[in-house]
Amino acid sequence: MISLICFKELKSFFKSPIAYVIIGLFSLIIGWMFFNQLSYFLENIQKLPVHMRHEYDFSNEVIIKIFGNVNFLFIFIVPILTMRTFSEEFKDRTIDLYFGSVVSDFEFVLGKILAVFIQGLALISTTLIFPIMLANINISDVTFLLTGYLGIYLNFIFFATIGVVASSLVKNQIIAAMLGFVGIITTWMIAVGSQLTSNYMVTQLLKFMSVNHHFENMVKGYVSLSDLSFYLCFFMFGILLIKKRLEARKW
Amino acid sequence: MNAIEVDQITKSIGDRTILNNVTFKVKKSRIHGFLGPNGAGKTTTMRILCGLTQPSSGEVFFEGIPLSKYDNKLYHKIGFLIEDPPLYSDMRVDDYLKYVARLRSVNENDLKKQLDYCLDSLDLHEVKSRSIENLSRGFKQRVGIAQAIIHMPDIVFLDEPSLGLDPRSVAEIRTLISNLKENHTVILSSHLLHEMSLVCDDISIISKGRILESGPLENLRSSLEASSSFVLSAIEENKHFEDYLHAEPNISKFSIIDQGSYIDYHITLSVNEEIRPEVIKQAVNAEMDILGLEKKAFSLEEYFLRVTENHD
Repeated sequence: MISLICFKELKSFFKSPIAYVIIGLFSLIIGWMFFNQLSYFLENIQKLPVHMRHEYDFSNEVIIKIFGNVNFLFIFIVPILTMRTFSEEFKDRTIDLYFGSVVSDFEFVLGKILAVFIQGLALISTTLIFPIMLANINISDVTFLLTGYLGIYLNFIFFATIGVVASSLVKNQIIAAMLGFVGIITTWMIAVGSQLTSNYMVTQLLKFMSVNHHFENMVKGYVSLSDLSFYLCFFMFGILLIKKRLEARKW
Repeated sequence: MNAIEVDQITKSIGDRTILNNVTFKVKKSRIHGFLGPNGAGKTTTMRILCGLTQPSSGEVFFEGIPLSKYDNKLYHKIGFLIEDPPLYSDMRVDDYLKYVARLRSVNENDLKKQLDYCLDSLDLHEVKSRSIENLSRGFKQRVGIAQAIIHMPDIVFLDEPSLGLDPRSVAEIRTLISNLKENHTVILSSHLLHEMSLVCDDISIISKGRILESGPLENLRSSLEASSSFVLSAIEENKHFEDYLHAEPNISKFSIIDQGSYIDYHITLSVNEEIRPEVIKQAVNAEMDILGLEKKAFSLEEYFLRVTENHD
């Protein structure tokens, strides 16, 4: 049932023009950002004496920044991508098709959210053109790229979970997008909050709760169990919230 | 055995009681009409029967087994169209019906057969390849009914299936619903009382969350005829005749309607006694110019209004 729902969602998404508008816009903006970062890097490296050029690291100056840019774009794109996930089902009353079937709430939620995650893969895959283009450049560590992509994808999952939860709360897609946006921004603000307090415990706690802290670790090439468990816990918490929301509808 | 037994269902939201001890039975292989004014609790009752909403108290039994014992297996047994049809406008009609059938665990071997049954029963063959968003309202309604029966349920719930349709589509939907009786028990709600009287075998009347009447339509028809009414048309009003109508114990009420060039006395009897000869005699004695006298046929609308007015 999960695959049936997921496949239907993907078919519906890729049939609609909004999929191509979102992916097209994302590719355009990130392509422009990549071009700028690359030009800036080439300009700067040429100004440096030859013996110092190896210290001006391509990964740090271009790739990490591009990953950061992708992450920033997600704040705006993910709520638009997720806004209709559940709100449209509520508005059109198609949600009764699932309540009135053998599909469990869990299967329904997983099918829907899995489709969003695959949409995220499609979105992120457009950036693979950059490493392919740069295949001739000797990037010191390929795992660095892999952990970066893992970080980007896990961040997408994190933001998408917020967006999908927001979409399950209201019938109006625009309000769902706004709620998702506010939710994502709030999780960004946690990072700022961790810098505002001098209390060590509070700082550490806020740091752990900040998605950017975990994202930065991965983009820099460090993947820890703590980072992975953070994303997993948040995802499971999101699923639980949506399931509770669907159950509440019966009352 | 009854297909459904509803036993003292109550539904409250906050201080507001939407359903109050609703109790009725639905017999197998019959069309059970559910009548009530707007806000009476029809849709809430239907949603509870379909397991989409939880009652605050009371129990629903499907073939003697409590609804709570069915879990997801209930959905092999029932199909429903409640309020607007739950349609994915970007899907083709046949793709949509196949998708719904798979959600309800219809075996892949049976899928084609059941899809054909739906397309045939609801006359959807000509639009099966069309996108749902391009269908007329009437066809969308048919697709909504088709999704309710695609898995061949025993019981089908249809809430206002004719709402917003033109008279021709209403008549077509009526025929479709009548045909459903061959293979399904149907619970139908509608505001179109005339339509209901044409298709239903049994009816329940609900108002302000309470069941006021429930039983076979024939019984209601007899009880209405027991207190039948007729119309006496005359050139003008007559005081002596009206005094007689007031005094006659077998007349429960009468009203006068001015039709322009003549007037109608609508006379309702309290008992099933033939008093028309006496009424005519009194009118003649009062020197009225009588144009005619007509016994009123059974009207579910009139019955419905009378029952709900009495309750108010």
